[in-house]
Amino acid sequence: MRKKNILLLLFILIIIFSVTLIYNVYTNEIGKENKTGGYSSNDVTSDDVMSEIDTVLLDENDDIEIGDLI
Amino acid sequence: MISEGVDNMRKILSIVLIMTLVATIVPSTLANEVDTNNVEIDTKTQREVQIMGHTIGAQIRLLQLEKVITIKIIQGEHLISLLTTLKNDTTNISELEAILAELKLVKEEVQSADPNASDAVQTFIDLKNDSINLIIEFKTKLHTLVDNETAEKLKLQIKTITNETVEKLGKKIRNLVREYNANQLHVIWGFLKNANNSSIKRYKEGNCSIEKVKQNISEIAKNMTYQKRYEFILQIKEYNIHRVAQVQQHISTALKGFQERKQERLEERLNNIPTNIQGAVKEHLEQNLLNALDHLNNKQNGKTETPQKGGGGKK
Repeated sequence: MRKKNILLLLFILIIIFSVTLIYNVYTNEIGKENKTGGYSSNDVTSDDVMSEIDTVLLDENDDIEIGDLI
Repeated sequence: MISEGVDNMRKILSIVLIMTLVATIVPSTLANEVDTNNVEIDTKTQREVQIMGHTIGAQIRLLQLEKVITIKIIQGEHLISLLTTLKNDTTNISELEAILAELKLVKEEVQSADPNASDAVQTFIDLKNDSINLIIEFKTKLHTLVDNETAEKLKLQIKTITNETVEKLGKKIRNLVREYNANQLHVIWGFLKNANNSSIKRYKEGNCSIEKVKQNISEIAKNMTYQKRYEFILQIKEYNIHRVAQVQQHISTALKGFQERKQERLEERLNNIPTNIQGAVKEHLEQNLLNALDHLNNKQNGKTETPQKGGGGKK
C-alpha cells in the first residue's frame, strides 16, 4: 500500500514537472521569436525591411494629442 | 492499517495540491504587481518620448507640445468670446478664463524647457500631463454651461481656426523631423555599407520625399541574399532597441518624484501669476492652484500619484 502511494506521488510529480517543462520551452520559443520580430533568415523580404525602417522614422505630420476643449 | 495508509495518502496529496497552487498563484501575483507598477505613463506618451534621447527628437516633442497647447489656447479664447455673446452671466466664464490662464503658464514652461537637458523627458511628461488635466477641467466646466446642441455648434466653429504662430511652429517641426529622419537614415545606410547616399541629403533639403529614399534602400535590400537581408534587419532592430533602452531610464526617473515636482510647479505658478491677470480670473486661478495643492497634499498623505493614462491627476 505504501509503495503504491509513493508511486502515485511520483507519478503526480512527474506530470507536474513535465507540464512545467513544456510550458517553459514553449514560452522560451515565443520569446526567441519575438526577439527577432518573428523573422527567420529564410523569410525576410524587402517589405519587412521597409516596415522595420518605418519604426525608426517619424511622420512629418505627426502631432501630440492632449484632448478636446469641447 | 489500511485506513492509516489512506489518511497518509490524503495528507500527501493535500500537500502536493497546496504546493502546486502556491507555485501557480505566487508568480502570477508577482507578475500583476510588476504590471501595475509599470503602467504609469500611457503607451502613446511612452512612444513619443522614445525619440527624446536625441536632441533633435527632444526639440521636436517640446515644439509639438507647444504647438498643440497654442492651438488649444486659441480655440479656448475663441470659445470664451462666443460664450460671452451667448450668456449674460460671465461669472462662470471667468472660471474658464482662469483655466486658460494656467494653460498659458504651462506653455511658457514648455517654451523655456531645454531640449539638451538630461531632464527633458521628465519635463515633457510632466507638462503634457498638466496640459491634459487642464483641458479636461475646461471641458468639464464648459459642459456645465452649455447644452449638447450648443456644444456641437461651438465645436464646429472652432475647428477651422488658423493661426500664423501655429503654422510657423508646424513648419519648424517639419524641418526638424526631416533632420531627425535624415540622421536615422544615415545610420541605416551605414549598415548597408553603401557609399551612395545622396538621396538622404536631398531629402534633408526638402528636394526629395522620404518614400524615394526608402525605395532606394528597398532596391538594395531586394538584391541582397536572404542571409544578408536577415542580418540587415537584425541590425536595424538592435539599433532600435538600443535607442528605446536609452530613454527607458529617463522614463523611470520621470516617475520618481512626480508628485513633488507637480507641487513645485503649482507653487511656482501660484507665486508668479502675471500682472496682466486681474479680478475674477486671478481669484479663480489662485483658487484652482490652491485646490490642486490641497488635493496633492491629501494624496501625499495617502497614495503616491503618478501620471495617469489620459491625465486625471489634478481636480
